[in-house]
Amino acid sequence: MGIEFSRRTALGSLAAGAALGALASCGAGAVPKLSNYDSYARSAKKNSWALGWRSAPAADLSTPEVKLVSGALPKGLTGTFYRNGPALFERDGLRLNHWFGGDGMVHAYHVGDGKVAHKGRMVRTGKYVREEKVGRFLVSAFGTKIESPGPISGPDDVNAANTSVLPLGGELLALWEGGSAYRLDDTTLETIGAKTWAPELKGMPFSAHPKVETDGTVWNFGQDAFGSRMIIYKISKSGKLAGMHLLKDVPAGMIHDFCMTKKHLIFVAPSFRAVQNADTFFGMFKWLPNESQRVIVVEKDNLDNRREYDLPPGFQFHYGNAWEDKSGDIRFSVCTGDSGFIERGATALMRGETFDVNPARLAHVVLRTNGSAKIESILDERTTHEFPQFNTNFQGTDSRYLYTVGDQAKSGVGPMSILKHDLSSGNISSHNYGKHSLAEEHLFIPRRGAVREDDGWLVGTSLNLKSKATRLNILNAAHLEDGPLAVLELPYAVPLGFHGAWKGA
Amino acid sequence: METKMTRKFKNIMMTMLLVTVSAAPALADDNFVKEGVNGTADITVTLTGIKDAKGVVTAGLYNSEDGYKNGGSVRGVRVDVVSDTLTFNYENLPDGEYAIKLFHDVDGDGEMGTNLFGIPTEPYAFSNNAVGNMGPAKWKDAKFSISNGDNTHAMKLN
Repeated sequence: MGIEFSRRTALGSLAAGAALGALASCGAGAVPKLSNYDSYARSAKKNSWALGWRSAPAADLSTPEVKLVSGALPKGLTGTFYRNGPALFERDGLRLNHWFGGDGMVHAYHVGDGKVAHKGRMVRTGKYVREEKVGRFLVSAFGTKIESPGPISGPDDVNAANTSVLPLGGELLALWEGGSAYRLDDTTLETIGAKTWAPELKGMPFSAHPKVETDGTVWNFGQDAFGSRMIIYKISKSGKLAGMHLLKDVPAGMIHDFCMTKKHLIFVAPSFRAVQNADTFFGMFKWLPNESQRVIVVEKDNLDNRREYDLPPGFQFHYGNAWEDKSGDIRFSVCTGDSGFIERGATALMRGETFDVNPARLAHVVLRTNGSAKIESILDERTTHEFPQFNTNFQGTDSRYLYTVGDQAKSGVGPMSILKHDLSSGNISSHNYGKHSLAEEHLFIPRRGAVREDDGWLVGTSLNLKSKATRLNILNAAHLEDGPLAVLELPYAVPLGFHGAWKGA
Repeated sequence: METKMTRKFKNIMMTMLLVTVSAAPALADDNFVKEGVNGTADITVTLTGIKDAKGVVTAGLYNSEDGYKNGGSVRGVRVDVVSDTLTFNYENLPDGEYAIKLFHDVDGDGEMGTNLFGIPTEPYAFSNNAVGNMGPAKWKDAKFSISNGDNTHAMKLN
């Protein structure tokens, strides 16, 4: 502290005694900013929440039997809960600027035989393998400029495979959004290689938010924001490419997710657009507060059949369910706000700093057959909501329940609740993990043979800041307020991740 | 809404696509020799890093930055790929500065493969194993000098 103070004082007097304008123009008037590495290290000493953004303790993790902390594993829940998230943030004294740039680690929580086993493995992308070999970052990841970078011949050279997972065709795909999905062995989590759906699709972007029909058909997209175009994929239940379509004139807004009714795919190009020159992918995007969002709706059975709508300026990562009502209007739920988190939150977190950004509201949007569109209602004003989930057996229908992770802290770092929204009554039930926990996405897993929409479990992870360990929580979706049926705890903390998928046994 | 900024930005991104165009020398014949470019220097090029022992390597030799950037080669060869390395020769050249662009036409369709977004899907290389960043390697990084007599140059596919 003493050193920092004297440096600041010295610079202050220097600035006072010199031509201020000249100093300001060369940046010397500013107090030297701590490197990301030092800023985070300092924060981690005093802020327990910083644990959520610490690199994974090892490249490969394994716990054959995860400790049961409370409750009991419910009968009837057997399968594997896969998750993915950035898990390597530092190499050679350099800490990344942006959370989304960290290399992906895939986790498998295998639930069966009355116990839970955990495995975690860094995805061996080309980037990871090359950087591991030399011990430093070689390419500019999502938001961090790397000096003396290695060659980049296409997006896959910077592929971090860090966003989600998709069990498909006997394999597990580790998903990013700017390049290929990576194929993994779904038991050992060993990396097989980049997925090529067809020769002409080699190295094409494949988003981290594929949508699965109730018959197992998978739809997904890959955006080329710089070319104002998008590829749409249709993939069979067995994992074979069943169709593709090039969608042109797609505004250069960063499209992270989409939603799907029985008949349509809905893409929203937000007001966060690739409009400027920069050293990194992320740096090219800019928040345009006066630029409407453009909604593009295409018909699944005829992808050339397209209609468009405008929505007020905004940005969102994730959507809930979408459906056509009796009049043909399309409705969907979404966690929507502005670019505050992606621009400032996800960078502050890497420095171990808190931030104050506008919340992501849980909202309903309607796209009317008459061509108008609007945000019809905000479902819950109290908190910021993320990671919306629903019973995917009800994909594309007017489903009743939506589950989110809600964060009531202004700083954006805990405490966190899992919320269940009854969209027909407006009732909300919730479970709060308490002030020592950071909660992550929870998936809805239907009970086998269930008829009632909320007959099943919520399965999700949280990071316990007291025990400094990652927990797996299983809740009764019909009664979240009762708290978890079972809580299990790993003998280590893994960094907070993004998305998961369930594969039933 | 195409602003000046977006145009500039698009230009940057388009350079990635130029890898396709400018790594692929257009050749009329299997062995192209530009008339009037003659001398007593030869180059033997060794290429490694071949993953698929099939198809054809197409390699263009350039003697100026302009030719390198805009596609005016002074020699061109097409060589069948039958193993994981190959060698080929450029003969009877004046001494001076040169650069090579080549690609491995794995499927033998005569074109450098790209995906639907225009990103190369077949291996390529530049002399000096120079690398591009979101685009082809620059002339200043790829050029090398030869003198009269035998010269060798080693290249590796990306």
